[in-house]
Amino acid sequence: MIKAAVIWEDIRAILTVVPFTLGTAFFILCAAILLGLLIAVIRLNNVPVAKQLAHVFIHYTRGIPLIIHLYLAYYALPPLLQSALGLLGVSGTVTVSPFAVLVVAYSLYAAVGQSENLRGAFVSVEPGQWDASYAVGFTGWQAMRRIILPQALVVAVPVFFNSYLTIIKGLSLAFTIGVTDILAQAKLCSAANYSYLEAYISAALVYWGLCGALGFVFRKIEKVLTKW
Amino acid sequence: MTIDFGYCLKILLRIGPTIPYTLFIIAVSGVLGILLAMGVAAIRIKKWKIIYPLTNLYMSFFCSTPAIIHIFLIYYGLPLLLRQVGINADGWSKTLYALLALILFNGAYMSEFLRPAYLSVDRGQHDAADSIGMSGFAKFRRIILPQLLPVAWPNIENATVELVKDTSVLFVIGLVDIMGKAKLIISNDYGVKKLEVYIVTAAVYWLITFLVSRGFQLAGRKLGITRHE
Repeated sequence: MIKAAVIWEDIRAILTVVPFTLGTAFFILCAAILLGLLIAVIRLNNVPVAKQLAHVFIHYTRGIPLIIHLYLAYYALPPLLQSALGLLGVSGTVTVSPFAVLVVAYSLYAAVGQSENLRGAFVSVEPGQWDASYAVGFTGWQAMRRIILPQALVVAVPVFFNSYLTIIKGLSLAFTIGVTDILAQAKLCSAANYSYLEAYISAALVYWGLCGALGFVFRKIEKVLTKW
Repeated sequence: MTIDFGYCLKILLRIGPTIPYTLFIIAVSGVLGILLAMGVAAIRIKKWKIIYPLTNLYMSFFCSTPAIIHIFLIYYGLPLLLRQVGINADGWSKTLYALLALILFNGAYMSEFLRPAYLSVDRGQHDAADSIGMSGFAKFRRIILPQLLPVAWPNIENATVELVKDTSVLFVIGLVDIMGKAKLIISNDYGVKKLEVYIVTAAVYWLITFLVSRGFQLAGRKLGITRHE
């Protein structure tokens, strides 16, 4: 039957990689928001060529599972980089660490969701707010920073929080390309003590606790934000 | 970098036969998942005693753990649990565990937007239906559902697309669906041309999600659920 002592031991082993998971997820989220902003700006301003590329990329991420996207990146990015460097005249073999592949690939994948989020957030601010800002003599940048952005962020931030949790969960697939996160650590534990179910229960409890606690904190912050 | 397109075609022919099986898993877990979600949403709307806190627990668990964990837990845990009550689950097919994991996840995930969709129907609509003497079922079918569906439809479409994508992790318990077959091909061929295999797999998944998405949009328009944009 299930051994509680093993679960406790596994949880302690898994907790050692939690900071890594949280940090990686945060980094990916930030990169995704920046890339998402770029995509949103491209789409809102109808930049030719870039707009079509963004469209293709949005369709790509919507239709392809994260795990396959990670595998594609894992096998395609190093040779692509190699040929790109070859064109620049740099020779020699390129080695890309799985962690770098994970961060780059996942940031790109998550950027599409963020671009939709940001686009929605900016569109949700009434156009009249721009007019009002200009009427009191603000420049475009001032209006953006002092009037539009604060209102757009109230809409966008809850989605950022939600995406953070989604990325933490998505990192469970990182083991497929050899990065050790929560699930991979659980698998390592189970390989050491042959208690598979216990390892997965431990991983599930860690995820549950993590997302539960973060969700609680995020809801508190959202309450403060809605006051504005 | 070169991609061998002739080889891609050969891979497609080998992966192709697993497509119907994958579609079967998607269809069964999609339909049963939404039925479960409706049940869960109903419990949460009516706030039934005892079961209501249980649905809270159920939803928080399935929404805060990754899909891959659900599959592992059910595949390794359920037979053990059943043995405690004297049921031998040794010969049960892996499909069953996979379906159960997907249904349970979608039951939680979809109920999260079904409840707000139900609550978005104005209270006065209930009163009006009651006042002309409609029964509970007639009220739901003729008054509430037609107003609930347009709100929920895009979310149901998205959830189904996500479901298609979630099936790609079922290979971890050895299920031979599209991704499982791709994995088998790679190990049979000693890992040569992995990139080609994944490109084909990606294309197949992309096509399925595209068709599912289009199907929902078309059905929404034909059934008059969504207004044409």
